[in-house]
Amino acid sequence: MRFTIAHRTRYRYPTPVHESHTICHLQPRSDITQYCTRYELSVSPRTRVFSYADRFANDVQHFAILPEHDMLEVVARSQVVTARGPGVAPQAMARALVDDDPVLDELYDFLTESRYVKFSEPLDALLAEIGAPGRDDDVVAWFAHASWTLNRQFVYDKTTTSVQATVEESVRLRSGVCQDFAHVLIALCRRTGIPARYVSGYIHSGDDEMLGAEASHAWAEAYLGPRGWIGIDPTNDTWIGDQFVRVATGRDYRDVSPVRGVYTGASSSILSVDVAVDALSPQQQQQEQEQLRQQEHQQQ
Amino acid sequence: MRSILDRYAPAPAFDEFAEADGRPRPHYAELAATLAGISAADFRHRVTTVNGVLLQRGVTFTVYADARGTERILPFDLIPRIIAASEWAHISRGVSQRVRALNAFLKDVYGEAKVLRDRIIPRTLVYSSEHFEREAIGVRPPHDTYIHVSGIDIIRDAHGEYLVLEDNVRTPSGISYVLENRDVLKRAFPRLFDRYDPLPVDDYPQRLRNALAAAAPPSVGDPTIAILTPGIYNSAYFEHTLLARRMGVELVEGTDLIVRDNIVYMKTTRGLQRVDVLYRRVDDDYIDPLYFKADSTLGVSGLFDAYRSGNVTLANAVGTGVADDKAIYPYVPALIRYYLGEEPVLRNVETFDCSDPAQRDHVLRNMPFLVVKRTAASGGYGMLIGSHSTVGERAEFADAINANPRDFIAQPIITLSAHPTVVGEEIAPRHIDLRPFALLSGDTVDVPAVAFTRVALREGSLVVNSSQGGGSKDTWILAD
Amino acid sequence: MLSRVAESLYWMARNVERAEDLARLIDVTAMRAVDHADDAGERWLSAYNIAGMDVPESHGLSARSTALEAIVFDVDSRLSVAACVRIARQNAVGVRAELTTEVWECVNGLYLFVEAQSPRAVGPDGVSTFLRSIRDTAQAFGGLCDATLAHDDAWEFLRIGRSIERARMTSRVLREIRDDDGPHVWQLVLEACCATAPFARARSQSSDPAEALAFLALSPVFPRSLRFCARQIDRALHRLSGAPAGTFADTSERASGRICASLDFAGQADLAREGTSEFADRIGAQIDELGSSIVSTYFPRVPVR
Repeated sequence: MRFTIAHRTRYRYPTPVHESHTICHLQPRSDITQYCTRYELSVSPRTRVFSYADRFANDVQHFAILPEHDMLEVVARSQVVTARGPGVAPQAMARALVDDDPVLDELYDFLTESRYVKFSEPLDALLAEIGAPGRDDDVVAWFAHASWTLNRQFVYDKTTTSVQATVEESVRLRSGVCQDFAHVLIALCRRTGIPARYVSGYIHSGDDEMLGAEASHAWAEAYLGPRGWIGIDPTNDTWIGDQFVRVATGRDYRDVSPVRGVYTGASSSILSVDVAVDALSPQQQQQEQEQLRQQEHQQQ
Repeated sequence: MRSILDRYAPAPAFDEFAEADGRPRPHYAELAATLAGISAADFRHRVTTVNGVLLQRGVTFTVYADARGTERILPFDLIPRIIAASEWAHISRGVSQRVRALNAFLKDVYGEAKVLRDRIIPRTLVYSSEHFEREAIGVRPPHDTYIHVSGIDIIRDAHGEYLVLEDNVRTPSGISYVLENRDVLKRAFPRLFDRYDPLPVDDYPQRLRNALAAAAPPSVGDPTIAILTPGIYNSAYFEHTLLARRMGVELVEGTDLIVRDNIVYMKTTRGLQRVDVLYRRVDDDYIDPLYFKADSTLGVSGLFDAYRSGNVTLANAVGTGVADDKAIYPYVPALIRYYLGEEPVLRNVETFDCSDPAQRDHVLRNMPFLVVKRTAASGGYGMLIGSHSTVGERAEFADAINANPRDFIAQPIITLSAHPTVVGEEIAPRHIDLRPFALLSGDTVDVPAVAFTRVALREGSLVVNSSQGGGSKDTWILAD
Repeated sequence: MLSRVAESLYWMARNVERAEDLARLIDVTAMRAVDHADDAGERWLSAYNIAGMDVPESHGLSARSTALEAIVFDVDSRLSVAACVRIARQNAVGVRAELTTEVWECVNGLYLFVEAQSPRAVGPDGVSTFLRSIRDTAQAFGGLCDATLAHDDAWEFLRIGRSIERARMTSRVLREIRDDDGPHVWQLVLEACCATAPFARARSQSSDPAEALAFLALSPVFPRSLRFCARQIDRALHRLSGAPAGTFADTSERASGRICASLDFAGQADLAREGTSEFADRIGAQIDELGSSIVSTYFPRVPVR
């Protein structure tokens, strides 16, 4: 599928701030399952934007606004083609294949606690309920079952948690937003020795009412040995398919938060975020391809 | 005439000053003769003179946090520690080797990480280190230099062998004492200096400056260097001011700096002035609120971006703390062999890693005979000396070890060498250690003839840290 | 030099100067109150005005001890002598590395001396001695700055701080003058500005109040006159910027140039026409503005436009 995405983040400050430094994880990734054909980041007030690839190979932009300002707006526009087909379960596979994978040693950071993914008694209780997979158990099925359990037991509720919710809180409350669902599932995986990471991105709602479509979305990926990194969205209990756009991966939300920064001045700010993910119809796609072809002609 | 040395009895340890039969070692003979010629009254007079000078300087070195504006002076012992040229050559070779290996380790662990794939050192140990800085992965500092300045703590065991006790490759301090102690002692024993002619220490600031200038980003011609201090409330603030003055560079605080377009500037009365090298005495966690502790007011927003872009040199580089983690320490000899293909010149103290179940068992069963240390702590804090501990303290440590084995190591209790030290009206043996400082630029390690000798002033005490009742001595390194 | 360091030097000098000026003012006012008891209440009220402080409620009960408490010891006000000394020392701490031992010890000594005192410890008979000690130490501070520090940019910021505060004090003292004030009032004014002898020497035997006031405002040689202080500031600013005298490189130089011009070309008659109080008020306001523009030129809160 082909998407155009507009992601606008706006901060307003009651009194002017200065020396603000911001970093953004907003650029969709290009890999074998999706390709980002266009990406543009505009910042107001105007400033120079710098870019680097972080250690997870995410493309990160950062910028500073040094003079006083009472508003900061960051708009990311991108076009992405996804080519992973509908989300379907990978082939069944014994957990032993994960445990014996030689790469496991290098995945230390995805096997241990991180800032937002902490182990706790409530988490252990939940894991006991789900049941930890044994060496001969099908780890694909277990992953799906864990996601399904979260989806069934947890309430999607924007009012119960803040950005800083811990896994323990989310498990206790049995509620949260996509980010919390992802953190809990990651914690379950890591607790039982399966490497897991956090993915931030977008989901296109389409005809099925998908949760999390009106904002940036998040889900989990587990490292399933020979199957590689496999994504599942516990909020919607679905394998990651064509309607998902991956933006950044990391240990947890902290590594990939879409926009974060520091500044000098006002102690509070008013944040508003709008995300629009539009799928291009076949007609639009054709038109666009036509345009591209013409441009190429002109360049030649 | 009664001399103050008359009643000196060597310690039940390696005595730096006296042979087993009580006669002074050859390189201490002159000192012994001089001390023997000094009456108790004369010596008292010299002590008073030195204290007077120290007091006068003490005004300069105020602990400003104190409302009275008075200062806590590190007690200074008048009897110099003397190191023969051949011994110093050995120490400096060992220090240099160690610093090269640790720098190679840092370059590797934040780069290709071959050492981990080759299983020379367990990845778990590195990744679980409090000071392993993930943001620094893939970021190459100018010239691949990480450890511009280091202080390697060295002790002598009962046989007189020099052993490395720990590495300090973050922001080692103490150099200001070395510089001040020498100044002060010159007033007390001017003639003794003529006889020994120890290597001078006062060129250290210039050598440090040279090393920092050489570490500047390659594109910079005549680099601007500044010292970044956490500010007046830092315990080493006086050292920062002293170095800034003697090096002739600006002493800046975080608020004096600003980062624009990935370049670091100082805010001056003539506008922004670019800074190329920051000798920072601020810990990694506090250097940039954007990437590290967000509530830090000591750092500079965007500093890490400037560093990643190669536009500023941070000395030491970000993330060096993993190399002086006490749990990594046992692996340093292996790192020396791995990176340099050499045998270690200076041996380690035998160390038990509590994260290893078998070694942990040994530690828990033998606590009264061991020193237990927290791997992330320094300055003599978070330490249990088994022989000087109560049953309750040992139980507390045992619980802590069981809860977080990774956070502890243990070592046999080593009786540090002893040295004549002024104690009241007498001179008596007290335990000492040694911290040489090393400056690394490129592949070259400069080990200036400056070393900091700390002395445990309490009788029998093996803890020399200033925070734990330690004092200091002037350290004389003899020329060939 | 670093803006932070320059700013600390500037505020250190200003606050030491203010402590000295207030100490002298209180001492002089207390002395005069003994001679002119009928007028004492009025004079103490005037002292509050000069200090820029509100008059405490207890003023009516015992004017002298209330004033002493409020203007000298009240550290919560930020304006009192003790508060100024504290602020000066705080600033000195932050730039300790830039100061000589002599200068640091002087500020630290002043701080320790004032902190150790209280109205009770000083006692009614000890007030004058106490205030004199503060004045002496503060003056020694100025001398040590001049004699032990290099006369570089750092020193210029000290000079600016000292001169601004001095000019403000003189303008505030002059502002309190009324046309019908008796000779003892302008005597007090001269004393508060340390000007009795210099004025006597300059205008031998003169007892014309108008002439005394003109001297405080316009003397080109008396170090506490508005004109002299303004010249000091202007010179320091030009040394900092390197701009030739008579020209300006930034807003602060423009402001100081304007003040200098209006003082250079004013005479006693102009003062009489505008009224001394009004004249002093106008110049005082201009000096405050100059202070702010120096702050925004050399120690901007947001350094990048």
